[in-house]
Formats: sequence, structure tokens, C-alpha cells
Amino acid sequence: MATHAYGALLDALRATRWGSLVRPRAPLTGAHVARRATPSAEVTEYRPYRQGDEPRRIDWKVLARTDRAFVRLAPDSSVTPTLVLLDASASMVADAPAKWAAACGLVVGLTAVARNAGDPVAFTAVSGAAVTRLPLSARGDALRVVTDAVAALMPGGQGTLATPLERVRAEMRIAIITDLLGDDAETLLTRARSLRVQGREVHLLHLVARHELALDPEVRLARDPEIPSVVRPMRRAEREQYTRAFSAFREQMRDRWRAAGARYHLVVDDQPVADVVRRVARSQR
Amino acid sequence: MTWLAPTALWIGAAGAAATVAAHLLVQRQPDARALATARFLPEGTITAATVQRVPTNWWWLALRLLAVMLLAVGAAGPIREPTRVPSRTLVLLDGAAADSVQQRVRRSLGETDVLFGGDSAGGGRLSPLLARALRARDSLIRTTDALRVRLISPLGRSFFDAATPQLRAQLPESMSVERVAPHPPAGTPIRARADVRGGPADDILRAAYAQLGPVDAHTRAPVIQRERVLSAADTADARAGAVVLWWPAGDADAGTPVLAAIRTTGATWVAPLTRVARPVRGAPVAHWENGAVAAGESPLGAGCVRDVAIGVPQRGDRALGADAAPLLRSLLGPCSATLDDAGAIADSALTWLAAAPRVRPSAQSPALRSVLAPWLIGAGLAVGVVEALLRIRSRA
Repeated sequence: MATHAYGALLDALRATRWGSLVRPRAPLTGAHVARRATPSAEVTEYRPYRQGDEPRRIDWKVLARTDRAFVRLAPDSSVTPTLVLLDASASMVADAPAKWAAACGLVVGLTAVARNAGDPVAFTAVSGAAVTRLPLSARGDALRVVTDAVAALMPGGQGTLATPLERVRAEMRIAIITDLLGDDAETLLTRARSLRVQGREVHLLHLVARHELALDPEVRLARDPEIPSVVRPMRRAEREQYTRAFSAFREQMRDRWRAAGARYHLVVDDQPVADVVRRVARSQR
Repeated sequence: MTWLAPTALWIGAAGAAATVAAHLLVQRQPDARALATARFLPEGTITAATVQRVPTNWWWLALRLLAVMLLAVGAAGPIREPTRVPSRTLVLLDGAAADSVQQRVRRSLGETDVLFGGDSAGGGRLSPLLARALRARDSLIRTTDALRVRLISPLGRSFFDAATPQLRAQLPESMSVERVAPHPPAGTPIRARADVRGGPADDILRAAYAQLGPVDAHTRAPVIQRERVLSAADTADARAGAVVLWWPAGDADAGTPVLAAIRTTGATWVAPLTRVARPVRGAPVAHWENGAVAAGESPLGAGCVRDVAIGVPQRGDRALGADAAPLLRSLLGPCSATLDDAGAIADSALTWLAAAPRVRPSAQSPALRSVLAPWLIGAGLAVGVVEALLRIRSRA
């Protein structure tokens, strides 16, 4: 049971619910208010009877009093299917165990808060050519299944996150956990923008390691784990240029993802995962 | 095998060590650390020197070591050193020494001793011996730790000449001087009566020498010429080795006899004599008591002519006395030249000859040259050029 490793995290997120930013169009029974009201015993409003409505939904007392046929309507609660998409490329783990641990913790935490709201959760991880995909599941052991899948992951290679997003059909909330260092960052942004236009809720958790923000002064030469040919010196001048370039990259990603309608969250690997998950969950309100 | 400049070997060893150290030091990129955001670093290169336990590029190392060692060995100047002897004696044997002496010296020569002289060439003169010793010394000093010089000679006056001091100054070693007996005069010594020529019939000296009887002579009987001039026969006799005593009888009438003393080597005669006021030819052999020269000797051929300026009164018998005989016999003694100057030089005067000169010659040992050195240096340079060409080619 890999969930034992996340006991403290799950305990911290026990009372956290991940509210839906978008009301589901075709609601299933759940904790979220659906976008469309349905006939129900709990009346919130009336509307005139239209052809095709079920006659049993007619409020006969109103018909008797007003001689007009009205149908009783009431808001319905729904669920928000959630897809957690994890970038398991080499850049997420190379020389940065804390970064990968934070990514795994975010997957488990987001799954937990989604399940706390009763939402079905799907999980997809891309590690090079290998894609780990768990279908939507609202079963009670969904969290355990996701946790076991995360524990079994072997990160490496270059992840292509845009491809799994093309399969998203249902109204889903999508949480993407990545460092945006893959080759398909632009494609991913385009796909996310398309999903937002389609009304889907997109969260981007931009994960960076602390040592990527403040370079280790002892290291004199850096190698890109995904592109072995990229080997760069790390002298004082190069560090200063790096700091400026990486900061500009983060700001650019933030602005572009927000412009695309996605929720952008910058996550540093030494931040408490529970706090990050709460921040993501609160971003609905 | 020895080296002209052993320091070059040490320098070469240091160079070889530096070469090996350079091959242990490798300039390469430091270990790269994975950094996912490495792409944000600008491009560039960085190298760091690292020390390895095992040298790299064995062939290059061998080539460079070969060049360094060849240059070092060539600069050190290898030479083949002959066997050295701890000491060697240069024996300068005067050919004028007696045969028995020369034979004794030859028998006593050690294996490493070198004999100069002992032959007729240059016999009786030191300068030729010194010149030959100087020429030989340059080669002998290379194989000898201690060089000594031993001079064996009768040390006659004619043994030294004007070149002797300069030649002696060129020889830095001290010299042991051994005075030995000279050759006996050539020919068979004889005893003969003096041949008194000229003069009055009742010459007192004729009577005195007749009374004196035979005397030691070299090869010919001594001649006493009582005339005022020497005859051709006198000169011929002198050239043949005779002692010609030119003692004009007329000198007795040159003045009034006074009591005077005549001194020669080993004899003194005091008698009424007439001092002759005329210059005496030749080297002094007899003096008056006041130091004036009474007789002089001039060498002539194998013999000599002695000019005697002593007036002996014809009257009286003082010349016939026993006290006159030693002087008369002394005046007929062998010529100085035939005695080979034996004992002419005092031992004290030979101190400068035995002592080492104060100022030693600037070049005690001749400049040595290594035959292999140019070849080794050339080979080292050639290997260095090959290494450079190969390096350029490998980089290209």
C-alpha cells in the first residue's frame, strides 16, 4: 500500500474539497451544482410546460389554481471528472528527487481532494514513450490505485503531454503537473487553450526545483538530462545569465497559460504539498 | 663512461619528471551534473586540470621522454674515461747523468711512471725535458689523480738556459730534484807531463812542471805556452781537448815582485810574485788575494785556454817549492766544460726549481670533447621535431 507514504498528506487534505470551476453540462449525481436545472422534488423555479416534458413533472396544483401548465424545476448536483496528467520525463527526476517526490505528492493530493468531492479521477503519466493511463474511476479504491500507479512509475525520456490531452472527450477538469521543459510545451499550451475554449477546466502546476532557482555554486558544469548534448558551464557570468533567462521563462509561461484561460500555479519542490493542493482547490472560489 | 656536465643529467631527470607529471595532469571537462534547466545556461566550454594515477597517451609520453633524455644525455657529454691511476711520476732524466745512474733510474721506474730524457737528445739541458713533459702532461693528467715530477740530473751550469724559468712555470706540479754524478769525460783519461813550449831554456816554470811529473789529463797532455802569443799547435791542441796554459814568461819582468797570494779552487800559493797589469781573458779560475783576477779560462773546442797573468820570478826557487805544486797542478786541472759544470749550481739556488710555481697555468687540463654529444643532441632535436609534426597532424 503506497498510500502509507502519503499518510500525513492525506490526513492534511481530509477536509479539503476540490470545487468545480465550471458547472458540468451533463451532470451526474455528485457534489457539484450542475449547469442545467432538472425536474426535481426540490423546487427552485417553474417554467411553462413544453412539448416533450414528462406529464408527471407537471405541477398539478399550480395548473388547478392558474389553469396553466408549469413544470417544477430544481438545481441538480453533479460530479466533475478529473484528469491528473503527470509529466514523468527525465527532467522531473534527474538529480532532483525532491522535485519528483513533490510531483508524486501533487498527484496523490489532487486525487485525494477530487475524491473527497466524490469526483471520478483519471490518471495519466507520460514517461518517454511509455504512457501510464488509469481510466476514470469513482470507486472507493481509486486513490489507492492512483497511488500505486505513481509508485510504480519509472520516470525518464521526454514526455509528450499534448497527446493524452487529445483523447479528452468528456467534460473533465484537467490538472497538468509538469516543469514545462519538454519539447511539446508549445503544443501543450495550444491544446490547453483549445480545451478551455471547449469549457474545460485546466490547471497547470508548473513544478520547479529549488536548485533550479538558486544554482549550486559548487557545480561547474551542467548537463541536460533529456538532451545529453547540452552541456553548459556554470561560472559566475553564466549563472547570472541563467537566472535572468529562467526567470523570464517562468514569467512567460505564467502569462501565456493564464492568457489561455488556464489556472497557472508555480510550485517549488520544497513547498509543502498540502499547501499547494489547498491553493489549487481554493482557486475555484 | 663519465660525463663532462653531469648537471645536465639532473636537469634532464627533472624534465622527464615534468613530462610524466604533465601526462598525469589532464585538462578535461569537470564532471557534469544533471540540471533539467541547463538549456537556460549560455553555451561555452570549461576545463579543469585533474590528476590521474596512470599517465595518459603512452606513445606520446614515450616519444617526449625519449626527446628529453636524448637532449639531456647529449648535453651531459658522455665520454669514455680511461682507467685512472692514483699517482704517476714524470721522471726527467738528464742525459748527462752517469750511465750507472741512468740504469738505476730505469730499473726503479714504476709501471705508471713516464721517463723523459735519458738519451743523447737534449742531454745536459733542462728546457727540452720540460717541454716534452709539458706536452705529455696534458694527456696524462686525465688518467692520473696525482702527478709528480722527479728531476734527475748532475745539474751542471749549462743545464739551465733562458727558457727554463718560463717552461718551469708552465708545469704546476712541484718537482723533486736529485743531483747525480755526471758522465765521465769522453775518452780515456791519461796521465801525462805538461808540454812546456817557448820561453827561456832555464825557465823556472819548465823546471817546476818537470819536477811536478805527470798530471791527470783528459785526452791530451796539457800544454804550457810561455810565449806572448799562442801558436797554431796550441790552438789545435786545445780544440783536441788539451788544457793550454798560456803563461807568457815575459810577465815576470812587468814589475817588481811583491809577496802576494794566489788562490784557485783547492790551492793557495803565497810567494813573491809580479802582478801583471793586463786584462785576463776568460772566466776567472784564479784570483789574487785582493780579488783581482789572476787567471781566466776560455773554452776552445774540446779543451780550453787559460790565460795566466802571474809573474813568476826566474830567479830563486820558490816555484820549485812544495807549496807551489798544488797551485801549479790546479792550473793544469781539467777544463770546466769537460767537467760538465758539476757542482756549479748551489742547492739553495734550486729551490725555485723544486717548488710549484705560484701562478698556475690557466688551463690545467685541456678542453674535453664528447664525440657522442652532437649526435645525441641532434637525435633529441629530431625526435622533438617528429613529435611536433605528429601533434600538429593529429590535431588537424
